[in-house]
Amino acid sequence: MDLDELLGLEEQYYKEGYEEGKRENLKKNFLEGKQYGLQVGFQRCVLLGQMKGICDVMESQKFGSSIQKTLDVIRNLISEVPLDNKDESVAIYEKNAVKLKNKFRLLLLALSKQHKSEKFQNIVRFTFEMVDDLSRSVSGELQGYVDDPNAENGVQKNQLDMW
Amino acid sequence: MSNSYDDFWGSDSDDNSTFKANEESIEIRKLRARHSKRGYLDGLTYSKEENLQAGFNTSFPEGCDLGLKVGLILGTLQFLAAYYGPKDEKLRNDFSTAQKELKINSILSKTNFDENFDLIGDKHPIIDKWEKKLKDYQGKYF
Repeated sequence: MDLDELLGLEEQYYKEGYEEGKRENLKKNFLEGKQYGLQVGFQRCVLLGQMKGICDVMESQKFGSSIQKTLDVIRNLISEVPLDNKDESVAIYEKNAVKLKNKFRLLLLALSKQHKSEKFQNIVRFTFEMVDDLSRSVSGELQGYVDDPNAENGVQKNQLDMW
Repeated sequence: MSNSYDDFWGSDSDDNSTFKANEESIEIRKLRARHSKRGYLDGLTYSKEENLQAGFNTSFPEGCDLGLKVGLILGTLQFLAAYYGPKDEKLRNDFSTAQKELKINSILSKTNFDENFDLIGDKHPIIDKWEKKLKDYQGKYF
């Protein structure tokens, strides 16, 4: 066997191994990525679902036209969020999530005022913090990766940033 | 008997040329092991990030769908419980149980997914159970 043949063989064996390594990785890491995708997708959408559910109940209770107007805006903001991980979808989610939280706070405040003199005192005490707390407790905290947990400004990188 | 078999184990004839061929074959095996291992490791490293991201993007919509459904059940029960809970003990209890059963670790438990992390069956059993309960409450209070 001459030198050229030998080098050719080395290259051939390297390529064979490389392709095998890629295939091996494909399955293992693809499945690992799927696990994270399920988790982060779930975590991102629980709060949206909760808001939708609360809108459903409020709508059925007919709280009046001004509440209904806010409900329509909230529903619209939720429906605008695409359920995939494309860059533009993530940007829409982030923009709408801020608006939704603000709108929802206002909605519950308005509802609380409306019920002050009525018999449903629990509605007066129903706050956005209760909704948010439930979402966090069901979906877990998103922080899966922390740059520096002791940093004063809380420089934390949450799991969403990783993807 | 094939040549490769003879290369490794040696043929019945023990002449000099067969001995040389055996020696060369062993060297080639070593060469193959060394270079294919190097290639294998490079292949593993190179494609890691790409494959993780591809898997993530594939299952993300399903994660969203499950999260939305769970959120819808909990949001409905949470508000109904605040509104009608004081007079409806079953509703209060169901809301409390739902918070435990619909937690992320039970929804995404491996028992509900196959080895490829695809949902077993068309419907998630825990979500399906709570969607049915929710329908009863919607019938009662909506």
